[in-house]
Formats: sequence, C-alpha cells, structure tokens
Amino acid sequence: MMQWSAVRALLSRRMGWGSAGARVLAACLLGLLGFLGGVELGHAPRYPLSARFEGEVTARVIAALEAEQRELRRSIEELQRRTDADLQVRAGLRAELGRERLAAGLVAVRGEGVVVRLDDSTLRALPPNEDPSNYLIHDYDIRDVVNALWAAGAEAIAINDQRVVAVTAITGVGPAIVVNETRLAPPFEVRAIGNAVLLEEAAVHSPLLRKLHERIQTYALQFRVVREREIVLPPYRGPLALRYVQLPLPTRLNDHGD
Amino acid sequence: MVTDPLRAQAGRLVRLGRHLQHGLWTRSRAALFVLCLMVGFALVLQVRTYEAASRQWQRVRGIDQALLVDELLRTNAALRRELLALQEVRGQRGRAGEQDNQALLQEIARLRALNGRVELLGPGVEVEIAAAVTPEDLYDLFNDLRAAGAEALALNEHRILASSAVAGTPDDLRVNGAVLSRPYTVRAIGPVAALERALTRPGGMVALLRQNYPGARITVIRRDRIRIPAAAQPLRFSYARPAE
Repeated sequence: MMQWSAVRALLSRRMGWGSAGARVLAACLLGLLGFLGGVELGHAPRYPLSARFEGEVTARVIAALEAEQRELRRSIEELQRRTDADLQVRAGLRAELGRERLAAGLVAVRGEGVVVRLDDSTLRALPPNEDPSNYLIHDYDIRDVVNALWAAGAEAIAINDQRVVAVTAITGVGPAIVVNETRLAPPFEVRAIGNAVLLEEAAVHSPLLRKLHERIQTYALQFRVVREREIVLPPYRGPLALRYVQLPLPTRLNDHGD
Repeated sequence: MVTDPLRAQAGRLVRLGRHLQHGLWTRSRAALFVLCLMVGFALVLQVRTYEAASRQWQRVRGIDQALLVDELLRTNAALRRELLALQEVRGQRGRAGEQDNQALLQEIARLRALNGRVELLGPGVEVEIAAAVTPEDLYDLFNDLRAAGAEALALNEHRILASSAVAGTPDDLRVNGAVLSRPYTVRAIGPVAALERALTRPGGMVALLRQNYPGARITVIRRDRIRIPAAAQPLRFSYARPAE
C-alpha cells in the first residue's frame, strides 16, 4: 500500500505530464495494477471456517488432556507421598522393634568380655563328716557371679547357652542348675560382654564373691576367669508372654525413651 | 491463475514499450515504466509469498496439534496405568500393612514393658523387709519371684531389670548404683498365689530371712494392683552389638 502512495507522489511531483494520452495510460496502468493487487489480495488464503472450528476443538481437547495429566500427576504424587510415609512409619517401627529386641536379649550379641568357668571340686576323696554339697557348684554360686558381673557393668550375660534376661531364674535341682527352665550340667560357663578389665576384676575381687572365693579355696572348687576380645552370646529363646502386666496404651512413635 | 493476468500485463507493457519508442520517450516516462514494472512484480511476489507462507503455517500447525494430542493421550494412559498400579498395591498392602503395624506396635509395647521403658500395673505381691540383709539375699529374693512367674520387679522405687545388680554391704545397699534405704520394699507383678507361695513356703526366702535375721519384720502382702515404676535410665550398649 505504501508503494501506491509513493507512486502517486512521484507522478505528481517529479513528472511533468504534458500529454493527455500519457496521463490516461498511466491511469490505466495504475488501475490495472490496483485491480491485479485487489484480485490477488481477494484470493489471499483465509483460514476456512471449518478449519477454524477444528482448530478450536483441538485446542480444547488439548487443554482438557493437559488438565487431566496435571490431575493424574498430582494423584500419583499424593499416593507416592502417602506410600512413602507408610513405609517410613513401618521402617521406624521395625527399627524401634530391633532396638527393644536387642535390649530385651532377643538378639545374639558380640563384644569383648570375660568367660568365668566354674566346676565342682577336684577333690575326689572327701574328708569324713563333710557335707558333700560343699564340693559342688550351686545355683547361688552362679547367681552371685552373675550379680557381680552385672554390678561391674556387664551388658549381656549367658550361662552356658542360656541368655540371662529379665524373666530368667537361676535355680538348682540336685546337682543340676536350671536356667530359663533348661537344665545345665557342669562345667558352668558364665560369659559376659562389657569392659573386660572391669569384669575380670569383679570376677576375681568383687566383695559380692567373697564367700564363693572362700569356698573355692577351702573345697578346691574350679574357678577360672578368661578375658576375651570377642564373645558371642545367643539370644533368649524362651517364652516372654506377659499375662499379668497391664500394658499401657500403645506407645506413640518417636517416643523411644532415649 | 496468476500467470494469465501476468502475461496480459507483460503484453501491454511490451506494446507500451513499442509506442514509447516511436517518439514519446522521455526520462521521466522511462522511470515511470520501470517503476510500474517493479510495483507489479513486487505485488505479485508479495501475494504469492503470503499465500505460500500461510499454507505452510496451517499445515505445520495441524501436524503439531495432532502430535501433541497423540502424545498427551499416550502419556495420560501411562499415568493412569501407574496410578491404578499404585492404588492396587496400596489396596493389597493397605489392610495387611495396617495389621502389620498393629502387630509391630503390640510387640514393641510388650518389649518396652519388659525393658522397663514404662510404668506398669498389675496384680502381685509386696514384700517388706525391715532387716539389714545382704545384697545376695535380695538378689535371691528376685530370683525366687522370677522362678515363680514374676513379670516385673521393683525394689523400693527402682525398677529391677535383668541387668539390675544388688551391690554394696548390708549397711549400704545399692541397686543400679543408687543407695537404698530401709525397710526394703520388693514389688512383683505376676500370679499372686504362686508368688506368695514361693516366698512363704517352708524353706522359702521368708523363712530363710527370718532365720538369718532373728526378730526382723518381714511381711508378704497380696495386692490386686501393684505399681512398678519405669527404669530411670534406658539400657544402652557400649560393648555389646548385634551379632546377627
């Protein structure tokens, strides 16, 4: 369009049109050009109505699909978040259960410690009028050793293959000793995990074992303490049912007491 | 459809050129001729370019939209499958998981009770000992109560766990490192009759203590409701570690 005005300007200003024929010619030429241009522009492609409608429908479909996709992604994210949270709760519960099982003696443990080995007297010919039971290791001897080792900071104790836990009783039936309702025969090995030096010191010098050491001296009972770099204690395998204790309400998570 | 008018225009221009050659030619008219030629071509060129470009644009846009819709449909279908799979897994695990969690919580509660993490209530016996007994005497008393089925023990206000030692001397008894004052009160939750019988039977702890400490006041009381305190300090392992 700019070109038209430029042409007109040029015609009127620069050209000195003397001939009427030339003017007519120029007019015709310009008219033709105008017609041509008009024809061409009239044929200029337009977006057909049907195509425009199609385009609009497509755009709406795309928008709907995009909205659906956003919704789907949001749902998946939410579900995954909840699943992750569930798994975290479960993992937290399992970790807590693991800690409590360890503390309760339901898990095998290893670590440095001592082995206290006790056995009946080496004397075979007893003096007359002596009580033969003095020459045997009794349940109370084992209890005193266990108590002395706990007092010296033992963290886990087993007698032969029986782990000592909160419900463990150490009793005697004749020459046998019963721990966790299991009969044990001599020699008795009390194995304790903890500071090996302190535990050895306690086993040898604890005032709690004064009477035992007197009997060891008098009746030649066998007693030996060995420090070990690594001791492995088995887990408690007996029953642990609580039938009389009223359990408090189920505990909250994250309340580990430590 | 463009070529016909073009040809006609060219023809006219040629005729005009011949006419001009016969004497009408001036500098300005020649310029006008060239100008008209340029204008005509420019116009046609412009129109054609516009037409071609708009057709091209339309096609590209159509293809793009089709591809986009196709892609969206496919992605959404994949997302829907993923969502369904997640929902199914949650549906299957949901109930079992809930039961699992419940079982875990119950087991944890039981072990926490055993490990002295919480205060406990239950039926049991209360033993009062007004005598300067030895640490071994008290440890033996705990042992007899455990053998009779005690589930939780306390000495004075101290929870007695597996690792609770009774140390010191009769005049300076200590449990878990804390000094004890007399009279000693031992509490046990468990089967009341069995606990009482274990202590009071001939040759039992009560008889033994009365024999060893003449004149000492030792009483065993059945109780429907005994309170056992939580342990003061949680168990903490510095040397023992899991071996599994």
